[in-house]
Amino acid sequence: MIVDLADLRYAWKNGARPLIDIPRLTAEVGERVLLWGPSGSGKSTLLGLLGGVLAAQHGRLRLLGQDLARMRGVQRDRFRADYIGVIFQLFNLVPYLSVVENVTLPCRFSRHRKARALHRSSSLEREAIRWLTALELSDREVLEKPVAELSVGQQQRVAAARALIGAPALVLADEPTSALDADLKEAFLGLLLAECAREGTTLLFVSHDHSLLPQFDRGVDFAALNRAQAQPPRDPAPQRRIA
Amino acid sequence: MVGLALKSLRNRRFTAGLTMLSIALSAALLIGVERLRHESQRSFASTISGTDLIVGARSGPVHLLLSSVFHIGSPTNAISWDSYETVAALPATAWAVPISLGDSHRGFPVVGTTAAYFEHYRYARGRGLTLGEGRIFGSADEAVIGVEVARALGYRSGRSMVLSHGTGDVSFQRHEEAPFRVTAVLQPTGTPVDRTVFVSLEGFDAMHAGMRQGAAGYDPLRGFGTRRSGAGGAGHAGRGGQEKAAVAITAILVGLKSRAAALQVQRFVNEYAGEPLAAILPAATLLELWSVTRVAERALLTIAVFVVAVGLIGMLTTLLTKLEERRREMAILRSVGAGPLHVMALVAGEAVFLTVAGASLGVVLLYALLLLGAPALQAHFGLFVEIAWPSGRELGILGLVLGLGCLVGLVPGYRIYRFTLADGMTVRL
Ligand SMILES: Nc1ncnc2c1ncn2[C@@H]1O[C@H](COP(=O)(O)OP(=O)(O)OP(=O)(O)O)[C@@H](O)[C@H]1O
Ligand SMILES: [Mg+2]
Repeated sequence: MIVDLADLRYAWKNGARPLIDIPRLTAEVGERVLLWGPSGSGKSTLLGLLGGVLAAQHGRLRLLGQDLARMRGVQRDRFRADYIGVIFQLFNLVPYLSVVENVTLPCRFSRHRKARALHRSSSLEREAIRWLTALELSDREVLEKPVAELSVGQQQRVAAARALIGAPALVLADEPTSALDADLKEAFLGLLLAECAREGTTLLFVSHDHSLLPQFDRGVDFAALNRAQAQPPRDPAPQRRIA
Repeated sequence: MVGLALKSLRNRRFTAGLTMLSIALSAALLIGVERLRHESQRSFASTISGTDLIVGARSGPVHLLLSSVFHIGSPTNAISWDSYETVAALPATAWAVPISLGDSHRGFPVVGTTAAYFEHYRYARGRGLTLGEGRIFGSADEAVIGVEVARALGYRSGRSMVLSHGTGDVSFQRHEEAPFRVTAVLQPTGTPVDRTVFVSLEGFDAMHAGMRQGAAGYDPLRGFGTRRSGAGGAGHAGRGGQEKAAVAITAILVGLKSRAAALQVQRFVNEYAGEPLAAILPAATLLELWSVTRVAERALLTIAVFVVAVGLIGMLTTLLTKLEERRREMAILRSVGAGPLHVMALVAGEAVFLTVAGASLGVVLLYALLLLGAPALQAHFGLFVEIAWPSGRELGILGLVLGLGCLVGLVPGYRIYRFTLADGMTVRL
């Protein structure tokens, strides 16, 4: 099991009512899971916990069989560098690095991922370009542009390549398609899901958008999962499905 | 990490460059002030390293010292040859060198003295003067010149020069009838000697004799108060009355057999009945001089310290204003495995880099400035700046600037550290 959390509780302020209170959530190797829920329900916060950027106050959080809750901050950073790839909703790229440098960025922080990347290609640059090509972004002209000049769809694909390089076991995606229009969304999601399937990478994909569900192996209703959200009256989720 | 920091800085190279430049300039100023203070004291002290006493007409000790040795300010009044002989004959006296001052040749001071000057003058911890080629002046129409004089005017041994009264080319009192021949050029010393024309006492007086004949409308007070020329005129007036006495002189440099006798000789000279004389101990007088200049030094140093503070605060401001926009960048770095301490090091490291690079650039600037400015300092202030490695004190100042820069870096570093802990992994604008 890649993800295995039980009785996990987290509050942004110590002592406050928890924002997250999840009895159990699991994900198997290679599983692609859609986690949908309303805005402000704590989805990004959960990804922060899974990424080891935040530390839960209570409960068990096992990733790849290791208990993240027991690790110290530095160890969690290490663990994230080695085994987890992250894609944000927007602004994924470091502005002063080139496209290729952005993709190879995780290899600067993880020897493990660097070694795995070099196992497949003779150099990090080549591996980066291999991933960019797989995500249909191999145009020389595009690769040499400053990242700020890329379109949003291109930026998201660069971010996906960065999340996937060096074969992390788990990819966390925080609404990476919400800034894309319908066609781009379709194309991007297709590519991401295909690459995860090919690599056997577990994908945890967070979105408001329930309609994406058919493309995933499994969907989880975050509102139903999270006990902390169950009690207060929930307004009918402001679904952003205009398409 | 270092690569990332440098790329991030390169991305902001304009502001980073400006920040670096402001630190460089402020560091150069601070070290420059310290360097000039040290160099001026060193230069002054080394110039008089062999002389135990200076005897001259009564006036302020600092005035006598500056005019007789450094040719700064107007010369003191003339004293008689008798006084010289009396001082030279004292049992405690090892040697005594008479000097006559008050004239210049195209901006360079002319000193009348005897061959003993070249034998006894010491500079920079006991080094004596050496003639490049040629010999010491033998007759009244011969001159020995310092290396700067030779360089600036293109003179060499054997060349004739016309010594004029007053400063520079504007002088009307050119004595075409009394040219001097250069017999030797002295080796460089890094002291005012390099800028001096030496003639014999007789030669010096002959110049004046000629001057008196040829200067019908000469106003002895013309240019009074201007450097090196003014009171010389007054000196001549005094001399006019005692034509028969061999020569009148301005000051006597005295070496003693034992330093212990210095105070005793000083008292003797100060109480000398023949004419009002004063003897000064150069080292003590220099201390007196430094105590006068210390206030100015302190003020200058304080200003320089504030300028450095302004430079560092400027850096702090630019780093802090950029911080908000960098939160996003930091969240990305965290997502690929950077820890809060990484992120802090990245930001604080920038400050360290900017200060180190700025301070180094400042040192380079300072040395460039010293190299370029040394001739001007020498020409206008008689200050010989040695281009030496930074002193321990200067390194200490540099270290202090670097330390402060690092401390300043901790401020944005700590802020971004707090941000990354508070932000989690969410990327905010
Ligand atoms: N850094 C933070 N510090 C304090 N509170 C936070 C922080 N980030 C989020 N929160 C709070 O946690 C709650 C959930 O936020 P979160 O970003 O996890 O929601 P979300 O489900 O991802 O929403 P969205 O779909 O809009 O992205 C919100 O009430 C928010 O105010
Ligand atoms: Mg969110």
